[in-house]
Amino acid sequence: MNNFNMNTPDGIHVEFHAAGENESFARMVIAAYVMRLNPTVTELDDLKTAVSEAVTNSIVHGYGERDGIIILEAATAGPEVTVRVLDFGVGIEDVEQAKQPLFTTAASKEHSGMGFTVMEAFTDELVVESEKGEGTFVCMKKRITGGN
Amino acid sequence: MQSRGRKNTAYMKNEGRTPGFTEGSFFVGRKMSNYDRKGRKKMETKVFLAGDTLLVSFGEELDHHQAGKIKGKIDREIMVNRVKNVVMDFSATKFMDSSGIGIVIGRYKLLRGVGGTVTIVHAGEQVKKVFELAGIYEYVRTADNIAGVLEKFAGRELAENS
Repeated sequence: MNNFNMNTPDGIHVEFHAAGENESFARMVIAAYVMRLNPTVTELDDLKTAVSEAVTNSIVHGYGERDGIIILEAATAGPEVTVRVLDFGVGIEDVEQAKQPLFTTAASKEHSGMGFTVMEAFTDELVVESEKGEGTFVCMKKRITGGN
Repeated sequence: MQSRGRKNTAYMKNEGRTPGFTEGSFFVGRKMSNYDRKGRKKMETKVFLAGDTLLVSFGEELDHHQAGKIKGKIDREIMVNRVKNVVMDFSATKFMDSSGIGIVIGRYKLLRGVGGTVTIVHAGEQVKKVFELAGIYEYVRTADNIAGVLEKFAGRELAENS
């Protein structure tokens, strides 16, 4: 999604530390941002859940529960919201493998491997790009109908 | 042995938060978790014990951060009290992501070894959607009425622990 333009007149760019406490904060940020599109409760919940998964991935896998910066960006184009979650952590070696349902590199810590499955199910389009040792970015698009 | 008095009984602290779990019900258990007296009770997960049944009443949000805080506590209670059945109450849970799946599956695996069960009760729309996506309902039971569920496990009044 190289045409993502964070500098659209109504876009946001938020940076925060990769701390567990900020998972809730990130959900609130995206919920607050998307209110302008008048989402239904389900659309709001879906988007919050997808963002929660992406942010959690950055915290758990990207930074291995150590410190780091996570970037959350969002922009709208008509009724569609595009959300990006970026980290500068370890990156994913094989993205296709990572996206397989139930695949996880942290089974011992009871991670269910459902993160990407949830993101795919709850948004309209999901793009994951990663570079080992550089970081990962997840870009999701969701059309908000607002019950119309 | 000196009695600690009624203030430690679970049904009083629950204050009707878990539907069906009220004063006078057959389920009288010993409160296990730390109670935050600063009024953060809605956010916190609470754990109650009755015989070999553990009731876990999750707080408003169950994400990776919250799951990390509660997992150790639940497992400790299961081990120490030789719990066979875990009832997971989501009536207060407004948000859950796949970390909740990890919690359920983890406890399911733990209890499967002793022939125990995991029962999910009062999962709201958002919580249910995530459970359905994970196919969790193939493995764990559900119930809509917590009193009915607990009746199955604990058909007798328990004496207050002192």
